Amino acid sequence: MEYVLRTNAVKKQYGKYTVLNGLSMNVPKGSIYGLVGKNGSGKTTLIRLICGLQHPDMGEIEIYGVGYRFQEASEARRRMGAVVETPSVYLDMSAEDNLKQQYRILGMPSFDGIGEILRLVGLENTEKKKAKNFSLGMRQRLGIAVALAGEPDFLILDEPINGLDPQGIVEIRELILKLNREKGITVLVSSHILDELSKIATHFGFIDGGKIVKELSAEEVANACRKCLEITVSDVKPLIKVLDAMNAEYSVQSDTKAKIFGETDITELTLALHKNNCNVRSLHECDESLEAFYIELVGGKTNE
Amino acid sequence: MNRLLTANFARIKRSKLFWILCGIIFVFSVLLLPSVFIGRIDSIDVAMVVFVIPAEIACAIFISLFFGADYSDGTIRNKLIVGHSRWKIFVANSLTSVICALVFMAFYVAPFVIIGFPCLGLPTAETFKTLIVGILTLFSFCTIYTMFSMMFENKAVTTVINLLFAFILLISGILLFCFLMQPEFIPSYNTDGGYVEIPNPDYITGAARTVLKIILNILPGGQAIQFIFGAVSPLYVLPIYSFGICALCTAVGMMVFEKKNIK
Repeated sequence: MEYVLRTNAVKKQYGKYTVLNGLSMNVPKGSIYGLVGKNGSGKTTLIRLICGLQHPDMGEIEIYGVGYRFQEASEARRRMGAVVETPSVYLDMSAEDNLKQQYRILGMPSFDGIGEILRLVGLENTEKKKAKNFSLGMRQRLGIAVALAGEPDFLILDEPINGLDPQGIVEIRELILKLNREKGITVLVSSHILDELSKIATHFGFIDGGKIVKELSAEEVANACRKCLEITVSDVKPLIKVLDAMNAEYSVQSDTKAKIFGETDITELTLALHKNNCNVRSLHECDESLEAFYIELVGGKTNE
Repeated sequence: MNRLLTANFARIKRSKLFWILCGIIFVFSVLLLPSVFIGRIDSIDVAMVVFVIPAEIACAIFISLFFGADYSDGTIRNKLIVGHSRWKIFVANSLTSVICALVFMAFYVAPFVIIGFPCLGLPTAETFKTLIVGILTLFSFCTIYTMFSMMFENKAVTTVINLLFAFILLISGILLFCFLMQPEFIPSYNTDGGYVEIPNPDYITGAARTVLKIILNILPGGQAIQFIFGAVSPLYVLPIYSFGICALCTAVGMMVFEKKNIK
């Protein structure tokens, strides 16, 4: 698999406070990588390091296979755009002037393409209106527009829907999907609003305590999150026998516990277990959301 | 680097603050001319070399707010994210600030060229030399302001620090100049009506005088005062100190900016 971004054992401390503690992650090319973590878990710090706003104390960050310390990293960074926390735009300039300014910074030979970017983010009709008079959603979209200047292959968005109204959230979500599907842009998007992230991400990285505790594809997360029956029995062996006989999909959790996926006839199951001298101690339905999955992942239990 | 300079100049071109400051300097210069006509200022030569003071104050304001906006609006991140190295950003900003200083100076000199020279005659060759040395003094002011602007992310803090520095440098220059300009002998009047010259107890001599002279020459404010009231050291010495300050401030500013955690 080709990766746009790889980090290896990245550490970052502010004074005595360790924010990132040996973080390793891999962002596959063409993916929408959802970086999931609670406030203070290190998402924004990681993004700052990736963007070159800060330097890691230890570890390696590779963008397009180039380490951040190398001269070539500048060229690799040329291929990325980012919105870190708040949109980085000149408030006393219009949307078009902000884009022109970014074109100059990039050394683009002409301003061709500005109209297209403004149309893409839905700011084509703002004319001379200054960014300071924009709504939060418009500023967010302008921030993304600035990040899109120079046609990057890799876009980093840090909490892009924070503070937006439902309409704004939908617009940003659709924009991210459009950029990924139509332009093939790899997107790294951080958020703690998991429900939103679950609608767009193709890959997930769960960050907690300055480390990635798990990296999964959307399919793997969907499998982990789908409806199931969690059953606790006196012995799991007869349960396995019965479930195999019923042709059911299941996963064994422990000597006494298992998860059964899909529709299950509970009466048939309990009768069959009774015949096999197996007692059912508890039975309950699980409908795990990404949120529940995340909490289970980073909650009280260890993450191994 | 060219891209960064182009972007900075495009912003300057549309900066209202920049053009307001240019206008204020121009008006200040125009208002100074009648004082030369009526003799309140000795000559056009003295009036011309005053330019360092209004220009350095304008630079303190403009540089703080202009580069401060890059931090407050977060746009400095756009430069770093797309791969511009920190030293290039710093050098581009330093160059931008000295170009601004030259424009401020041009706005000061313009009324002299348009009205002053035809009516009051051309200044002396010495004045032109002082103007060139004065430009270097202005550059040293600019590098100090750029250093602080790149060190601190808070625009208001930077503006206060730079303005404080602008005035502290000038006031310390005036004070040092006054100390050094004390006459060596002062008249002492006798009871019979006559007077004799006695050594001035406030006159600084020896190593202390040498040290104060060096400090006066090093301080850009001290240099600016010397242009107006007369140099205590040969004119050719001052650019050496100006270059030293430019090099030192650029080196310190770049070192701090290179390691800075940008939010």
